[in-house]
Amino acid sequence: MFIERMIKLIVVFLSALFILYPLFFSVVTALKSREAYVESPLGISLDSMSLDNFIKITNNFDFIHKMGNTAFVVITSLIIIFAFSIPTAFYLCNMNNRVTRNFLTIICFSFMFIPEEVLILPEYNLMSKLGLINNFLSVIIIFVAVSLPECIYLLYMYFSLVPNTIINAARSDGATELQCLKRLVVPICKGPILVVLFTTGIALWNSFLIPMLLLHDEDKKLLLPSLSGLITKHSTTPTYQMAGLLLSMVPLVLVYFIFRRHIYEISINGSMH
Amino acid sequence: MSKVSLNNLTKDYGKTRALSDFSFVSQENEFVVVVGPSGCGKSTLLNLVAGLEKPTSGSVHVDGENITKLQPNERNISIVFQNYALYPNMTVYENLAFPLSVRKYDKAEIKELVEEVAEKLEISSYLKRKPKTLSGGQRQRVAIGRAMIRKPHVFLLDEPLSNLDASLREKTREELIRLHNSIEAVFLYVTHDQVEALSMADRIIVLNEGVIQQVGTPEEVYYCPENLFVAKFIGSPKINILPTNIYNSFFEPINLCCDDSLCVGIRPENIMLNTDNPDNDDKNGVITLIEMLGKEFAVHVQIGSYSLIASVPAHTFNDSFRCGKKVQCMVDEEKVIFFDVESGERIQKNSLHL
Ligand SMILES: Nc1ncnc2c1ncn2[C@@H]1O[C@H](COP(=O)(O)OP(=O)(O)OP(=O)(O)O)[C@@H](O)[C@H]1O
Ligand SMILES: [Mg+2]
Repeated sequence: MFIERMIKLIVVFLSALFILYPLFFSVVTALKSREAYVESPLGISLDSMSLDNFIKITNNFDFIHKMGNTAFVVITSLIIIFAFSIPTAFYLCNMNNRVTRNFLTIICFSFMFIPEEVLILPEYNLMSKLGLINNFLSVIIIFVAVSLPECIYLLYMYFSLVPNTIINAARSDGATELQCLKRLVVPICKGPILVVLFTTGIALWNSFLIPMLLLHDEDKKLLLPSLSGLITKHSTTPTYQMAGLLLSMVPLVLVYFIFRRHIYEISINGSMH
Repeated sequence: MSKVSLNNLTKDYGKTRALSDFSFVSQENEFVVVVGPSGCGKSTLLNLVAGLEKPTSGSVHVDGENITKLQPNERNISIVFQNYALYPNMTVYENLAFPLSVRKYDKAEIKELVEEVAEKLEISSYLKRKPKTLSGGQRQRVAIGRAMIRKPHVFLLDEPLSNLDASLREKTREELIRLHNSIEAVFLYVTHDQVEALSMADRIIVLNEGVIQQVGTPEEVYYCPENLFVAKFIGSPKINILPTNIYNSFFEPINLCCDDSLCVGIRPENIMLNTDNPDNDDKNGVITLIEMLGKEFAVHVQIGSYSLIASVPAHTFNDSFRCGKKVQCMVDEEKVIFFDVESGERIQKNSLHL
């Protein structure tokens, strides 16, 4: 009993440590002056801590504009991704031909394993041929293409958990496929959909390589690539950047807290015997 | 006024044939009960009629129109599923309103119809609740309400009473019969409970392994079963099936010359037991078990190597029925049914040259 409890405690403690260490490091760094960082990167001394970095970065650097760019690109991509993946996943669920269905899901599944970096060069070539360099559209197209297979696959897995009789009941009640999707599948799977939406959103928000290559105009740059640009422009110490990075997380955390309540909701309780 | 006709419906799932050459034409607004053991294809039949599965071959007609190719939402057919299948994300009100709201009825009309149905089924006080907060019986009434809110041509019910306790089952059974009398629709009611079938049906379809065994009124199916399967499936306690030689040596012999190709069926209520005659005749059987079934007693009697069941009405039952007691078995010869052992088919008595 005691040993079991100790093991549980240790596991929880270690995972907390793993999760909190980078965050702690970022916060400490962001609160330090450059000199203090050079002196001792990990040291904590309360009197040298200040919010200077945060103030400086919002003053000297067009933070809000860059964040707006990122938000625009990410939100537009998410809308397109979900407009396509939700109906596609539902269609896959209802596909009677098992061979085709498995073939399509395996394709989606295997796309999840292609590293982003591999595709960068061909993508860059394609976009420059289309004349879309320095155009948000190029990043949106690639974001959509990269995220779709994974989203379709995950949503397909979740949608197939909805008992078929519920959908069949709706069909014989006179609902069209679109009505089944809108009035049953989406509300029932609200939680999973939000989780997929949220994780995809985070991945895109923090995406670095693609927007850096495709958007060079200062005016068009997204938040993360420009933050990393600071390291060469201003100094080699990351204090300044860490402050920016922490600030860039704020919208994600806010969105999480708004939707947190709905994320855990998936319940078909009570519909079946 | 509606009429359903099913023509040569066959459904294969891979190699298993769930339904085989099913043909049936209903009367107008008939209450048809499909009865059979688990896995005999009852749900499959309903799915085919509702359009949720495509038949391998055959066709479905409603009011003379061939609807085999129509999607489920294009057919005016309601179905109550074996497990209710309520919409978990909607309140009871929204569940009941769903068939109307997908058809774009206007709000006031929906409200009126929902309230009317809720009143009929006594679920008015749960309208704001989600299905997960309801009891089994309440859920089941919501499922029925959802099916009856638009006036369907055909009403499909898949074992709607199987999850209810005995008293609620009886009450709902009455409600369903009343519902059938009040709306003009063909009812196709599936059950594996033969008591339900006998008590509710205008006509019964007995199904086994996807093949129709008999179609007939409850009386026909009970008194004139067309084969051994129907005879054994319908009726409780079960019919007694005896080889002719046992029959001849324990009952009044019929001139059958101990025909081995035949066996006889006797319903338990047609066997009379005489306990007043305790002489050591080898024609007597021995009581081995007595079960109290309410209005009657099921008395198990050992005759030779066979055990048969006689039901004795409670008012004629007395202390002389005891385990171990010798009894003489008698039967009204008119009520004996003959079957061919090989094929299981019933043999008409007048073809027997008794
Ligand atoms: N989707 C399916 N895939 C493969 N076989 C199926 C499928 N649905 C039903 N079957 C088979 O078809 C046969 C008939 O099934 P069905 O569900 O119609 O039985 P049922 O009479 O409704 O039984 P129960 O009384 O247990 O509900 C069964 O042998 C079943 O295994
Ligand atoms: Mg069934």
